Amino acid sequence: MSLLKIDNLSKHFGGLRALDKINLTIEAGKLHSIIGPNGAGKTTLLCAISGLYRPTEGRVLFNGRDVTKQRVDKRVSLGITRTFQSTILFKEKTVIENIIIGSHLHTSETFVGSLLGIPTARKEKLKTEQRAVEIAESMGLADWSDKLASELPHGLQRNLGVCIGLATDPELLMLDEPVTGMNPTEIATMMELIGKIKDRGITIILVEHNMKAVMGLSDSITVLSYGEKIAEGSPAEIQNNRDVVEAYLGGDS
Amino acid sequence: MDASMFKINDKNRIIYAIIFAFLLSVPLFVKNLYYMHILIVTGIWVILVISKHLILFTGIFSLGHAAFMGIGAYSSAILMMKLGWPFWVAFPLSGIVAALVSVILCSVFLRVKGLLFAVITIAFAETTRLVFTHWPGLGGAEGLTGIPAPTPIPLPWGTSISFAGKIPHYYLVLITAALAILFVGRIEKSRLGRMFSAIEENEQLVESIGVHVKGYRLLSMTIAGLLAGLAGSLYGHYHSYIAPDEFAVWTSVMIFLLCVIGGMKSLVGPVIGAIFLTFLPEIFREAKAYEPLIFAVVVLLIIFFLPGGLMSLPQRLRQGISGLKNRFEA
Repeated sequence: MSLLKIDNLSKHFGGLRALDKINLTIEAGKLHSIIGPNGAGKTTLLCAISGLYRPTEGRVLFNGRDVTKQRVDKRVSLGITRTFQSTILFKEKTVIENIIIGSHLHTSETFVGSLLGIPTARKEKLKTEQRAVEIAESMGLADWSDKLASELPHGLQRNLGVCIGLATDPELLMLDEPVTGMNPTEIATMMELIGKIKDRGITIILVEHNMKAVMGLSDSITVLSYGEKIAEGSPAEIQNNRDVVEAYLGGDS
Repeated sequence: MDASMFKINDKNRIIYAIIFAFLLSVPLFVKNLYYMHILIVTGIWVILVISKHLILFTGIFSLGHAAFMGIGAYSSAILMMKLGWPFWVAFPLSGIVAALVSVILCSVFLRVKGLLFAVITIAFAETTRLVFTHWPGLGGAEGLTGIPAPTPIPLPWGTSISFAGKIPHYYLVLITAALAILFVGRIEKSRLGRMFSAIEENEQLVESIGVHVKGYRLLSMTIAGLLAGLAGSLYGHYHSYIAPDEFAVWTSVMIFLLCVIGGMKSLVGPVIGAIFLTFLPEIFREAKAYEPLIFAVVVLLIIFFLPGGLMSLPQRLRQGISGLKNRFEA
């Protein structure tokens, strides 16, 4: 069954058609990339799926459920999480604290409990911390747990961004340009980590400019240009698609 | 590392207990009524400033805080004077009324963010001031006079604690302020507080991990409204007189400035800020006419040279001294 179904989705900003009648189906457990020249509407599409933007028309269905009108936080609790393009983190907090905040939906430590300092609340806190440590380890941040986020090298800040996303325990994880601006070694590491996330059964939507990463990781690819879907298919099909080559070479340069 | 953290916690607890015990014993040796007055006023400011700290903690900038104080002051006075309810009912109710107004208004106004929200709160403060001025029975621009002191507390052996003198007022304010500090301190250290400060740092990211940001902000505004309302009630029943202008935008600006002066990193800052406000005029008693000027200069100096507020002064001094030492040794 398809995990995410986007049905005739449009988003207009005044006269600008950022997205125009997009249809998209994403299967559970797959990695689906969205590519296209700058201004093609990739980030707008992510925002429409995550709930930051209300679409002008169309619907977003998640697990068969219409979530078009639901708030961001509601969608996260259903399992739709996104990470951000730039290194948006809690810079003044440590790596572990960042992940703990990310896992806030999955702790039963209640407000009253922690206010009164009752033992079960403390136990719950330890469990949350334990989980955060595991997530940090899985993304190669084990040695950095107690460092402030702002002290991490740029590449690892991206890893932490993904950790925060993972802490929400998503079914669908949307990564917005996770390797853009990284050096080749960092890209290789990040690709491996993304592959591992997928192996855990998490469905991934990848928005990325780096074609090596996209072609190497994707099960399927959607190409957007000026808010419209111009192609869809496997990496091999996309590489040989004339419209795509034209959009990239003719449209943007 | 954990163990040492607990030790610091325990040490702090002991320090707080000693300060509280000292404050409890103050009336034993401070006989000067004027000094008692200053301490009571400081206590009321402390409640206001720490409640303000809680909202700043969630990244909200509002200039209507004093209006909630006014709502508390007026409702408490009216409940006692017009309806004849005892203070011990009117006092908590005044907090609840202010909190309710806060919930209703903020659930609408918090749709707007940042600077525009601040503008809306100015409009709210002005509207509240006009309502106090023109609503029949609230005494107009002159305000309400003859607000009774708190109802005496009967004691089992026949006598009662009456609020005729300053000392019972002092204890009432001291206990309320201590509870308020304890309450807000607990919140800021809890999971809820962690989320508040995360929202202040990066709203977008917090939203992306499934937090209903507006809901959390509404909660902080509600708690702050409750505390401000209680402070207003104490204020009115202590002074026996309230007027609309006392709760205008300027008072809210002052509450905010005290947070800046004291420092916003922890609750110690706002408390220092409140103490600073009431003791400054004492220090410069000889130069009364220059007081606003001195206040302004001090605020500017702090913003430029002590961005962490007065609470960061010891740390800055230590840094400065070690810096000098290094220079001499080099």
